[in-house]
Amino acid sequence: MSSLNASLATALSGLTAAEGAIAATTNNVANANTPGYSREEPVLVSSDPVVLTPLTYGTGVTLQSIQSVRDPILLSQIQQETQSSGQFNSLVSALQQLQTNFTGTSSGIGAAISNFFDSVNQLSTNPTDLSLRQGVITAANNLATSFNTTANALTQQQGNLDLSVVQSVGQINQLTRQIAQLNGQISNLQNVGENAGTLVDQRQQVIDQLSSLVDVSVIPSDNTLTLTTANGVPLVTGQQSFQLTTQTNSAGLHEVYSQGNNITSFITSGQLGGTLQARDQQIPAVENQLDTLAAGLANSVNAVQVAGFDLNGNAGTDLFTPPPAGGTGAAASLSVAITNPSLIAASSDGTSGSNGNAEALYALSTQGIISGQNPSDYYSGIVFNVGNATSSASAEQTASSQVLQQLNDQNSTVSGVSLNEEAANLVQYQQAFDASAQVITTINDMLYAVVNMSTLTG
Amino acid sequence: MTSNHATPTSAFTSDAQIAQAGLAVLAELAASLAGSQKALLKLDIAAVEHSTREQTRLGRALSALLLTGKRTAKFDRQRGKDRSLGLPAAAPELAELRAAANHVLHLSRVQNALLARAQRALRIRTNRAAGLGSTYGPFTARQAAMARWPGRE
Repeated sequence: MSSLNASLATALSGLTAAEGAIAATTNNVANANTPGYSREEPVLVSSDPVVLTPLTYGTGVTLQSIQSVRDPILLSQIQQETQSSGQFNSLVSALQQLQTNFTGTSSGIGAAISNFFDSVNQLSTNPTDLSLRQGVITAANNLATSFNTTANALTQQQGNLDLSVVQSVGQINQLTRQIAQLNGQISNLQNVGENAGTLVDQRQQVIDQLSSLVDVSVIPSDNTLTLTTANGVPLVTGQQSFQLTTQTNSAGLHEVYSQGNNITSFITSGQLGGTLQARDQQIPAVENQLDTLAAGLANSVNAVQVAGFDLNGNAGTDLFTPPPAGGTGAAASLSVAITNPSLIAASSDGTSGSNGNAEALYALSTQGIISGQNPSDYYSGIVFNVGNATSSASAEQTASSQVLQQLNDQNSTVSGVSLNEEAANLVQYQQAFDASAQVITTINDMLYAVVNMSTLTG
Repeated sequence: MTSNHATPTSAFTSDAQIAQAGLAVLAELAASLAGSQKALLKLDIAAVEHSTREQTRLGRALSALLLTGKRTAKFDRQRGKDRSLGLPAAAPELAELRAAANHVLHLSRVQNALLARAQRALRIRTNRAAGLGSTYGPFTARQAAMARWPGRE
């Protein structure tokens, strides 16, 4: 092996290795601006030496593989933060929309409550005045309409979020199908020792997209990977994807199923997690508080009303239609039961000039009739809760966005293409190529000399 | 006036002075929180500790100012004046103070969220350093998976 031919083979291996390295560098440069591309590095190893006792001769270099540079820990962090980011983006969006229904005490329900009690207060100054009585009925109608409008807006928003759940499930199924397909292609390439870096990059991008939709765990195994939801429900195993389905529940909202099991409550992150959180927790909580307020207010006003007497001296009747038992749906169904202004029970003793019952009605405005709070304070509590939830989610969204940006920057330094570095590599490989070519030229000259020497001696 | 050379709260002679001092402390607090957020993103523990000490000091300074403001407000109420934190309810300083306080509240919430994430990042590194296989899903899911495999730990 110490022959000139062996040296020629060794030089050729250097030429081939430099050629491969230049190809990797060229691909990096070409993909410098490709989103999700991970830079590739040639893996060069010394070829096995040959021992001709007492000497050992090297046999050159082998380009073992071209591998993509990735940091799995960083990728897992990016994946988790993408889930958080998706969750809080959708949650903040839903809460901001929810917040538009609760604008404080200057408009909406807050203002309607104040206006209603103001109209009652005015009536108490002149209980026989029919225009003031009509004012109370108008204010009560406005109050009921405000409750109805807000409750309906919440129901509509819940319906929109429900549609979003169905759309997200469809997107998840499409992405898991793609990942299963890519798993197969990657596996096929890696089984025959080929570089599947580009496909792995593509798969990582699809996983990132999936992470923004739902919380997923990635479990890599030989040449493939398994994806599950955070609670272990399989989404992709090798080349097989498991489709999620939706079914409507008794409330008409879609629940998410996997292989016959309801997994809705286990989805806590990603866009789908945020949407479910808004649809199933935040909005129902506000609806419940609104119902409590509407039912408490209607029942208290009715109780005072029936204890008094109307303008004709008859016992009072309900001002508001009685809310449903338990209060569920009270805000949406609240309505005024009387249209005749003389039926307002302002009198406490049956005489037309009495304002005792009107004052009792007005006193409700400062009494703890809704879970120990007066109506305005209770409503302010709802406004505060919605605002607080929005602010908290917004802070989480900001933090998530900052962390994701930081992680992506870190990942760029690991996996991104540095054109300066590639230029330096290119010079290095070019010189290696030139040197190997020079060795081949020299050996060629030497072989020529040997051949000529044989001719001379022959 | 900055809280680095905080004026003793008893030295304030007017409501406006309290408001200005409050605004200065809140501005310092906001700057400190912004600094510690950058440190948290870089997982620079020493800088985070430094910022936390600074924030504790500023928090105390703010509490002292609020106490002075409340005392003034109580005194004013006794005299029948409608004031909040020692300032008239419509005072421009009050609106400025509220805006600054809201900004600090938002930054504190972001800080809290970043702390939780830094904790998670450190947990992932610890987890990874322990060398228990290559699963890099959410830590809780990993723990649950480990619990299902008796004898693995």
